[in-house]
Amino acid sequence: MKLLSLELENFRQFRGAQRVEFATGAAQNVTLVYGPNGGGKTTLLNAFTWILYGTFTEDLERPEELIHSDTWALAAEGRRLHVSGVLRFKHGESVYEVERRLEAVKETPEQRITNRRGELRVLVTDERGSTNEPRNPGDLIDRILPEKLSKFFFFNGERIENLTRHSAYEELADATKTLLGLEVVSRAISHLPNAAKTFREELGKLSSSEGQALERKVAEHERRIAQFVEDLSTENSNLSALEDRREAVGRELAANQSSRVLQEKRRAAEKSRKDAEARQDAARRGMRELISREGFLPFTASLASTVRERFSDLEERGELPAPIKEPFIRELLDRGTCICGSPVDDGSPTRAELETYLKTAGSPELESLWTRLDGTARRLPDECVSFHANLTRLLKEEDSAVRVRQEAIELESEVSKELKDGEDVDVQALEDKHATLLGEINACNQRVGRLQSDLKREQAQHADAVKAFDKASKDDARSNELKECLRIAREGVEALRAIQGVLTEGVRQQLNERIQATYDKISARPRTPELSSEFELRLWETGPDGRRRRASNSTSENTILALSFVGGLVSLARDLEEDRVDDVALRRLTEGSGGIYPVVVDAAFGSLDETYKVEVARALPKLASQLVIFVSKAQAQDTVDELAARIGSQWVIVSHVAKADRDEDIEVGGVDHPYRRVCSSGDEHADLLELP
Amino acid sequence: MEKRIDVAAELKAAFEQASPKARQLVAAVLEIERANQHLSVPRVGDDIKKAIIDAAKSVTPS
Repeated sequence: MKLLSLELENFRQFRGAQRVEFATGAAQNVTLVYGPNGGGKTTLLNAFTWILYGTFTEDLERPEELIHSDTWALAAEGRRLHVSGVLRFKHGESVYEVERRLEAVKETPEQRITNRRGELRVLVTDERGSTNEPRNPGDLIDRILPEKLSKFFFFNGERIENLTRHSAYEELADATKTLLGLEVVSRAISHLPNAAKTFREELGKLSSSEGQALERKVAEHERRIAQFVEDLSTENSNLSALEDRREAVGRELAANQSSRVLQEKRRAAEKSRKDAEARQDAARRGMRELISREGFLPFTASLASTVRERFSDLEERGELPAPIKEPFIRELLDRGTCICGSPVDDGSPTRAELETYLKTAGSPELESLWTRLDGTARRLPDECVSFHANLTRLLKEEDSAVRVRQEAIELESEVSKELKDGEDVDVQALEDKHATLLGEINACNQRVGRLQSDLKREQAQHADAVKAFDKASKDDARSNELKECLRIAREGVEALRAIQGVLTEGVRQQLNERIQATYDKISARPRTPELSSEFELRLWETGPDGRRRRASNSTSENTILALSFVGGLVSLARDLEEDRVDDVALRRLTEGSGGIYPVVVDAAFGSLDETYKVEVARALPKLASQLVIFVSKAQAQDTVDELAARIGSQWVIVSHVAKADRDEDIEVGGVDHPYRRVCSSGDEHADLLELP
Repeated sequence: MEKRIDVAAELKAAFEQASPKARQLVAAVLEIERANQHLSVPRVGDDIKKAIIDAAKSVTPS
């Protein structure tokens, strides 16, 4: 998808017809739109989502005022007014002209448009110039860029850090799977059990009363499992939302002068506790693995000495190594001549003599086994010592982690008490809120634990009921056919789940590599971004002890992390589209997915610290093959120079407002251009001005 | 950088855990879903269920 132009008519601040053309060059891929705060930048961002999907971003104020407000105010009651937008873009070899138009009759002085979707029309012109109008334009748009993905391509830079919040994990997983075509497998997983259920119900109808009762039991277990899964999902969402709220309270405490130091102390303690918990888990995992692999060693002390004794005994008796080997005697017997030259004929005394040696001659295999056994036995004491040493090390590690965790918990509790006992009532209120949220989080965690255990039990009972039902069902041809269908469907679901797991992991790893590459382009800090297997966006650093630990993320760091995710996603989608993913299997299974997407970002530098702004400005053009950025005059300072070489098209939203004190210009390339103009009340509007 | 999984090998293992008939069904269901994705009005509910039931019956000859 390459954006070509955007046309608006009476769309919120933009009175009459307005038009923007986007930079489409490979080297100069940036369209920069300057605009004063409140002048229409967020409106322009929303023009994309409204035209494509009929929706708005959450931060758009008064979405019910869709038609230019003064045009509405000046119109007579009963008059029919309209608003429209046309987005032209190239996708594949075709050019798409997407138009959304809404008409409304003015019935009240205030504009209260509730149904804001309007009418959508799409015209597609192919490479030979022939144009057609698809019958389902909404479906077509959703196939080119699914609505649920739009927030990754049309976003407000000040809010993009929300992708690092707990509540965003599901969204990240969903977006990744959708963009990369894994939805087909997800849908198969949800549809195939329905077919299996039909087979089971039919089989139940053919069964005895006992079989029918068991079928009902299986159905009841499945209903409960579905309920537990749904409840778990709800509780996990609640938990994520509570964590986000707790972190928001933490940020408020950190922003307050009188609680900043204590909050920082708590943040450090929390980090220390989480690191300690990770160490504790790792130590316990290590112990489990060690014991399952080498746990037999402490019981081998007597075994080692017994083997040694027996081996020494055999050596002393001259049986090891054996003086005469069995193959040697057999060779003499086969050859028919002794080493002394005497013939060894059947029945001869020499042959009889040689045959007696066979009884005492040693077997080379047995000797080799004894030698190996002895070698193993000799190593056992050392291995046992090493096992004890490793176990002791892991126990010490666990003890140390438990101690650090306990200290951190105590520190967190002290901080909480100090915050509550402080004199600042605002801080006290925030701390109360924090404590309440912590309580709710703990309660939620307990519910999650209980539900997980209930689900596990239910699944085990379901498996038993399924076995009993299968056993109880009849043995006639129709029943057997249904049983076979049911068995195949169940196996199919299991295989699909396994396939989904592999594909998700494969895609996640590919995405991770691209997130890291994007992050490295933006930031020179020695940190590692990661999209975890739970699709959580994390940032890691190496501590002074050489251990990997979670890096503390500021808003700027979170913004960069989220931008890296967007960059990674855009990059992977493009590589899939252009057949450049280096995993053949993944490429084949995600065939037809991916695509080339632009990134449209409002307030790209809004929430960044000064030091990060320049880095982000430098990296943004590399984020996607086409970039549209909306900035205010203040946001443009220090950043536009970094973008200069990549800018292919520049525009100013000239805001005409009645409340401004004076006219204001913006200087771009040494030339002043209108930025804000004072106007009379009733004439407020915004114009789009192209800069040379 | 984490060690990459071998997608092809893991997919093969995932696929091979199922019996040949179940594999046939998996392939058929994925094909139905893929085709459904490209329909202007995707099949839903009983309609898609019927297609999958037919696919299961076709790999399980009576």
